[in-house]
Amino acid sequence: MSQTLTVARNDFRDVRRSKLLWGVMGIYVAFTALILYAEGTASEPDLATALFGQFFMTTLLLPLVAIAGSYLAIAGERESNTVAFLLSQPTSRAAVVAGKFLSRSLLIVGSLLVAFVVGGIIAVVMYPSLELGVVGPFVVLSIVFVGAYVGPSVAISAMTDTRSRAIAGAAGFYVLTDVLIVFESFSLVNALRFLFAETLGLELGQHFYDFVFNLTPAGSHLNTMYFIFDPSTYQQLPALDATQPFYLKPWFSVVILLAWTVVPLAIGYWRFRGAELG
Amino acid sequence: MTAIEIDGLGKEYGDLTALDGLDLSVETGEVYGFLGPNGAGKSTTINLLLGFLDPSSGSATVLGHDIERESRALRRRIGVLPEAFSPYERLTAREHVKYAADLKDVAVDPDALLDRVGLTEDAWDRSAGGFSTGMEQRLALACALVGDPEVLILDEPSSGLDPRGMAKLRELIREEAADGTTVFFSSHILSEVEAVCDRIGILVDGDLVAEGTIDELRDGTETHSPLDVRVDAVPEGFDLSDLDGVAAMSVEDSTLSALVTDAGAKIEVIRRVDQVAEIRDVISEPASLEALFDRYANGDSATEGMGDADGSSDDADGSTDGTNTESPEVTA
Repeated sequence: MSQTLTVARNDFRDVRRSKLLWGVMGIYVAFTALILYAEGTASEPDLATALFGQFFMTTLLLPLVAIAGSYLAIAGERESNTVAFLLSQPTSRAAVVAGKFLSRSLLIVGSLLVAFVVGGIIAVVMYPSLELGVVGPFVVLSIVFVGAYVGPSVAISAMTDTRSRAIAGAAGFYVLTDVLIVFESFSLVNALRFLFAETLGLELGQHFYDFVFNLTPAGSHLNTMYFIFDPSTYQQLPALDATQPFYLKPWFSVVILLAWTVVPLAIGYWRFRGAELG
Repeated sequence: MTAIEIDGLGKEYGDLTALDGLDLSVETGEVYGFLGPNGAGKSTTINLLLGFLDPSSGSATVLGHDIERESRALRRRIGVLPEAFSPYERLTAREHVKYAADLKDVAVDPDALLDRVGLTEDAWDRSAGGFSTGMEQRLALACALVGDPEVLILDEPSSGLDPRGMAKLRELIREEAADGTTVFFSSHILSEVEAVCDRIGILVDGDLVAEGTIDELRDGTETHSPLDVRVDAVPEGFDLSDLDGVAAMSVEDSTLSALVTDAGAKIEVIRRVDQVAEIRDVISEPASLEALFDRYANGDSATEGMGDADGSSDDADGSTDGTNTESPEVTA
């Protein structure tokens, strides 16, 4: 445990001095400020409405920040051979994976909190009320969402030994689980529907497709919107079907997000443990 | 007590054999020079000891810890300067030493260590990203010394060091050895290991071809002078093995190379060659450890014969009570 913290502390010290990373995280802060400012200029600015827009932005943009901040966590050490220093010590490889996950999560969550502080200042100045009932869950769900992308990114990093392979893996993961899920017009779910229903003539029912959507971290994150926003107020949000099975319910989406945080990390550790270096 | 015990250790990558059943043991308190040309398998051996690689065959222990099953316990007790050490660009020298100490769970005085390896004080709080290769190597050495390890494993520690740095390194190794630390030290430059090592092993193509103290190796080579005879054409099936005093022979193009254990045999070789071919040139090299190592390092075809010959020279040494007195045949 203390080794995990040692790795995390030193890794954090190392990456927080990286200017490139701060640039990437600045983008999320800037977008947050922009959305809140734009909605704030309306005649009757409503913070919940602004956060509704911010939620989509988060689904799309936060994974990029999480990936940029963690894809090199281990692969970068293997490419530059700093890993030789790290593992020449009595370091356990589990501590490397866990420590890296810890420090990179902290880094991304830290920049997330910076974005919220900036957003909070804008909200105090421009909006009638700081709706903590909306903002609170929003922050918590964003943090959970960060884990669901930092986990796989660190895992991919643990499975690859070069920068190029790590970025290819992480970018592929982002496109498959986020871009091709969020935009309905070219979503993977629709591609599956086409394959099964139109081509193979299989009637699998809507629940199946909704579950596929919910299985991805981006889909899960969007499904957790029901915790904050009421479909009767926001028409973009389809009404919640009371009879839907548990695996489509928002609470189950949280379970899926946590699984995305942990399971890839375990696989990444398993691969890294057996990996040969040098 | 053996500090490092390597038993038939082998490493293969598909068809490529990086290390071929290496047997080697290093006694506690010994300074062992692991010598060989680049690509001979030195780093492979060290990476196997550190658990970076999994052996294809054989086993090894360091301080009694199995390299595969007890890698962490093993690494806790040793200090390592890894191959191609690369520091964290944005961590300072002090932070590196502290990091190593925290991972080892030992207390450390970073300033004392950095001073000891000769890293100037103005560099202690600078990011290692701006370090020269020599400074990186000194930092690596400081990290290796963290926790006063019982065994130091140094993989090409002198790479990137200037002559002053090399002197410092030798001094450090001597100090550590005087302190009872076992030092296992790889290099591709003979003069480096010669100055500090109690014993040397020469690794070529994943095989230990010679091993012994400097004196033993020197004696071995002084009785083995290389003789090259260039001729118009070497006759098919030409053989010198019946000649006394010829340890090995090989032919490459129109040059016949022999290893002569008795200097008097040289003229005999030339006479025999003269009978069957027209001699263009005769090159008789002075025997030296450098020549021996150069031959190994260049992958000369005579190497296999020399390995065998080495064994016979040990026997010869034994018959003269192991003293350094030159045997009469050698001076003849």
